[in-house]
Amino acid sequence: MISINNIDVSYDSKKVLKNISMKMEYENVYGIVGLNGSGKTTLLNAIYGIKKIDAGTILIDGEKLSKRHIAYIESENYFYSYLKGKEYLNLINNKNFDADLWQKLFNVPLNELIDNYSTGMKKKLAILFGLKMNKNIYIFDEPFNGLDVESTQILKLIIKKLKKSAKTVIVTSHIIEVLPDICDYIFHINYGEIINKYSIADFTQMKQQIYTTIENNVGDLINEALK
Amino acid sequence: MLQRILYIRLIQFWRIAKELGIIRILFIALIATVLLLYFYRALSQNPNKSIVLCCVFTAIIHSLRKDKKFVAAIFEHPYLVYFTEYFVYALPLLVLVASATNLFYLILSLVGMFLISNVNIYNHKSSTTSMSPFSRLAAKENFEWIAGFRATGIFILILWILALCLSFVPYASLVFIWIILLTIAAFYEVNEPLNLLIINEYGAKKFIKNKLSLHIKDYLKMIAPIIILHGIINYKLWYLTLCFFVVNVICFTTIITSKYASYKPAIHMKTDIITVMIVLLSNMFLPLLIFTIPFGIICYGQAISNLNFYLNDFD
Repeated sequence: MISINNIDVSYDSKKVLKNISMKMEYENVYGIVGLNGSGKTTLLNAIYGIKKIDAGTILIDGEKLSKRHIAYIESENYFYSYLKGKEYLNLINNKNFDADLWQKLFNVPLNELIDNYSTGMKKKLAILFGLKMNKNIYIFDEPFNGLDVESTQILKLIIKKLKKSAKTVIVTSHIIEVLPDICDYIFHINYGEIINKYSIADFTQMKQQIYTTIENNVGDLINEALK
Repeated sequence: MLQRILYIRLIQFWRIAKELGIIRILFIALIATVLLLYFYRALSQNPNKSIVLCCVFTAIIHSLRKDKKFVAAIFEHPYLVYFTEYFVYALPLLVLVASATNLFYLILSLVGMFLISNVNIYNHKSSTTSMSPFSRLAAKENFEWIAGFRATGIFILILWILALCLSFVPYASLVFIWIILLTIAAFYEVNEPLNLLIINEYGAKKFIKNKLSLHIKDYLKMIAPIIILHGIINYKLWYLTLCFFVVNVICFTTIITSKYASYKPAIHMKTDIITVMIVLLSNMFLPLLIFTIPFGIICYGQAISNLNFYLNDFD
């Protein structure tokens, strides 16, 4: 089990995550929703260990969580120029990973230079790279950005399959409609704080709550702007 | 509109200047002055060279710039924008042409620059770009070389063949090796993304050790035949060949460690190019080793400490 216990994270003197605590079990998919700038990516960076935490602990089965356990597919995908998709994937050793099969499934031109890929293709390549790493924990930050309908559906099926093979999956998305299809639990983060944890039964209520909050915040402004 | 884009360029230059710092700016100014003096002398003797110089200068910038599609989308006459920009950048060169030659050559140089500005080159990277046979020498984990050879492999192959063919001319092969190193140094200008850094799950020390041994091995495979042939044919200069070879490998090692001393995931190292240039020059001007050797040692320490942040989970 992953336990995040009372972590604080700040940029310079500004605290962006405040006293966050979460528990995540194996064989579950956890979603994190929140508006832009609410702290989703910072939280994932802290879990992965590329953002220092000021206080608190992040543990797996009582021990420090490390990069050894995690495949992190970031929202912004950077690739080395002048490499082909296949050369990039070949940098990881995993004999059980059949690149040709994945190429068929995701329709990624692995023999082309990555520089000429579309945004969606780059995203798919980053996902393939993460899957080839074969870790116990998968973190997907905005994985559906730039994906077409077919690839979105394929990724949802892959996430469900990962869950069945005893992995823990953490997914963020600003498209709230996508998460209820794949998640067992969803954390709602707002201004650096977890304000709620919803289980499958509460997802409809969660969506309604989020929409109502947004409408309350901006309804008057929209009326004024469009008057 | 033209004024606006020149103003944007001015702001960009100012930002780069601030990043470079005063010492590096002075160093660049020194090199530029030496080059201008050299060109002044060359142009006075042969005015035709002024056209070649201005055209090569324009062609290099025009082929390297990556905002052509952007400029074409914003401006009705993008070629006019390109030419205006190149004219401003080349002003010191044009003043030199005007003073070393005459108005005729200045006008011809400007016409050449204008024509090149009109050439429609886009930076689409073709996967069919031929790789030189050296790419087969590189280990499959050596992605810097695989990518680098795809971009400049043919150029390196030509240099390599020239170096071998000119082994009978004392020092010529060594100069070509130096140019090859200069080209290969560019392979290390871009930092890899984090997922490539952690791929082997090595701690910082093991990572640097593995990186250096892998890359030095590949580098030796490439330059050893030239060094050996030069050493055999010019056997009286064996000690100089050996000395050059040792310093060359020291420079190569320093370039790699300097990359990781300031590593941040997926960032193009703009400022460190100048330091790398000083390191490379020390292969030709040995007194500069006074800088390169301590710099290499410091970089090694900094690289370990810098990479620890990203790789401490694998110790």
